[in-house]
Amino acid sequence: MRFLANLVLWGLVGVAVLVAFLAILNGKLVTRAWVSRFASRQALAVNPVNGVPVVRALAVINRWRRFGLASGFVLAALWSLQEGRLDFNFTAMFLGWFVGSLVAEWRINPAASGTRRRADLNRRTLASYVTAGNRILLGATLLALAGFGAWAGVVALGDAGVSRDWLGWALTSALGASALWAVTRRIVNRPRPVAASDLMEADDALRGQSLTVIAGSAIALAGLPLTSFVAEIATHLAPKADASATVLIMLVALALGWHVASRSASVRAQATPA
Amino acid sequence: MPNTGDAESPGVLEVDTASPVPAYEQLRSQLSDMILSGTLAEGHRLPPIRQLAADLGLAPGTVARVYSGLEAAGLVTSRVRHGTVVASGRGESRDVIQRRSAEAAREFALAVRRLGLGLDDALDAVSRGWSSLDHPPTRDSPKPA
Repeated sequence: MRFLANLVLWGLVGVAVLVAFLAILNGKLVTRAWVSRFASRQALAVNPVNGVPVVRALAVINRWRRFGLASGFVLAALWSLQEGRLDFNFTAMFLGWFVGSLVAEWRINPAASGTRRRADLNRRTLASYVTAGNRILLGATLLALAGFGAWAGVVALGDAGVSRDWLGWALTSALGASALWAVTRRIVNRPRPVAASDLMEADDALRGQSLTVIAGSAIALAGLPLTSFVAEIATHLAPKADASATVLIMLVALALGWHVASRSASVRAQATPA
Repeated sequence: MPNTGDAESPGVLEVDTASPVPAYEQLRSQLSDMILSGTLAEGHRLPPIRQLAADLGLAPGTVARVYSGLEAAGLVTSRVRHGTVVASGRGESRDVIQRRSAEAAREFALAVRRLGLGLDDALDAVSRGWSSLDHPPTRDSPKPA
């Protein structure tokens, strides 16, 4: 009897998780307000010619981000269910959203088509799409991650050997940095056939927006391993000290990441005379 | 910011995959024309092989072959981490420059003579060709009679 009650209860929880998953996935993929925000941040004049590819690309990006968010939610919920409780893990959801953002960039593929193909002779680099300030912030975060990671590793080796925590975060950081590098290259190098100037401007705006949002998200997510590494170092240097202050690192990373992803200026806006 | 229109672009390459001329040859001739005419200035960094190949929908090996052909002709230099850069023509010795220009002039003279034209016509054609380097013809400009 008790088994049956448990089965019904977890069945209901499972249905609730599924409903939440579908709710996240459903809904409008691209709203007028979102397109307006995008256009204003990227100083892009959206018109009937470039509006179609812009909306199409934004829809692909949003679909994958939502799918990642929903997957993060479901996986975390299922993980917690097996331990007899139901958690809403925001970190897992954010991580899922981030992975979805990366996958989306692979789905946008304006491959060269037709027999007559044109290309311009400008080199495209990260600097073409992400402002110097944001690039410095991202570089400093990755440098801090590598530095504190190495320091924490040396500290852990000097003690009782590397901890599982350190190893886990070090591997995750390396994997995340590699994924970031690969996606950045993908966005910068994906085909950009020469077309009407408003289409090319829209293409630049989409690349700039994607790279900036991904850079901001990477900064925010780097707060997790950074906090762990600094806590490990702090525990070693002052075993009696309260390591809870390291949470500040997490908060600063989140605030900086949010600013870069959603509030910082775009290269296009900086280049446009006021 | 990359080019946001043809006005800012140092040049646009066009490849016709349906043409009987191989894509390699189309690319090589366009790039060498741009370099020799000064459209691509000395020190201009060409796009990375992968970028150009992706933009034109060609195999990276085709673009790599074009770049090494241009390098062999002394038109570009390639260095690790610096990419492919338009080379300076001024580095050549005076003898080499004179020899190359004499060869080019002879080839041109032969072509003009085959067409049955005289020295005045040849000089006129050179003069017009020279000014077209500074003022490239546009689509709307009138065609020569």
